[in-house]
Amino acid sequence: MMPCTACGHSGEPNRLFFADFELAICAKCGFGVGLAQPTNESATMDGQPKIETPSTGDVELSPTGAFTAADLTEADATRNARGQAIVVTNDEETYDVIDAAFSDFAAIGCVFADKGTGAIEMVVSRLESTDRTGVLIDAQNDDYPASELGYAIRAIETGLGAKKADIVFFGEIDSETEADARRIGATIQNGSMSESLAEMLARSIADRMV
Amino acid sequence: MTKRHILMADPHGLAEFMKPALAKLNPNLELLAVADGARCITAHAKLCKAKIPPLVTVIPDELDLVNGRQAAITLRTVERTLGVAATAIIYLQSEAGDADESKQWGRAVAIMQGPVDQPKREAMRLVKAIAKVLSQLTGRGRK
Repeated sequence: MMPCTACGHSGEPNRLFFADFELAICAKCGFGVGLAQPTNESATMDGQPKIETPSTGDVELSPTGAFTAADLTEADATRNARGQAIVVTNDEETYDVIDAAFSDFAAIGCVFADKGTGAIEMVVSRLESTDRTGVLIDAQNDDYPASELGYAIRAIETGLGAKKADIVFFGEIDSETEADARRIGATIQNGSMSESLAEMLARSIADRMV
Repeated sequence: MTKRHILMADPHGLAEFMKPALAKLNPNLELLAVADGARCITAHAKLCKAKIPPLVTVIPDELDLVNGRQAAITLRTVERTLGVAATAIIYLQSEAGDADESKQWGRAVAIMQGPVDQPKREAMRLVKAIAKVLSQLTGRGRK
């Protein structure tokens, strides 16, 4: 094997197997040292790239900047997010989609309130908790309008001297609600409910609970 | 003697006309006036946390940030969750046609809101309403 032209390392390179070729990269610095047609059955059959672990068992981050330490740790960190998400919606179809999105985050409890007062009860009962609380409010709620509920939650937190919950408005959001969201420090996930919006909501809350 | 509070969401500035009359009614009463629904909830929560919930809370139905109806049900939720005594609510309805929801809240009475272009007159009307509610709370009848 030729020594790496970037760092001079002459050990066995790591190999990335793709459907039609394999890429050899220096095990020390990550520099590409060769490209070849796959010659053995270790090439993947489904066209998905497969990363072979270094033969030495040592893992060194590539200095090329293709990956950073944050790339490798963030996903795990978000998975370890801990807290309680209170979802305020009276749209039953939303329940399952959001519940499924939160299933990726084992340490985040997800509870639903179909009325604003139910959400307030849950928020007040969690004020003493050391875990973080996230409140996701459906902008289409009509029994307790989203922005009013946001203001009410902030008012209670101020009155009781409690830490602030993370508030997220979701759904079809008008400019007035957007302005209210800015005033109370809430975030917005605009759009009609879908799996991808639910995943964004779950990730948005999980990011704050790390 | 510990001061007790009358909390009032007061977007029209009636409190300044009410304070002298309330002081005459009971010197231990203090009127706390706030401008909108959110501040009303905050003031109420502070008093509840201190275990001295307001004796009476006056809430007009039309308020900024959190309207009167939502503010009233929020006060009840906070009281229930914190386990404090319920404040008596005087709910000021702006339109006669609206259904009186205040009956569902418990310890609440709805009255029609008077004209705000006659603040002194409206203030005195509210003082009378507060006096009536206080007399019912103490069971002593009107003085």
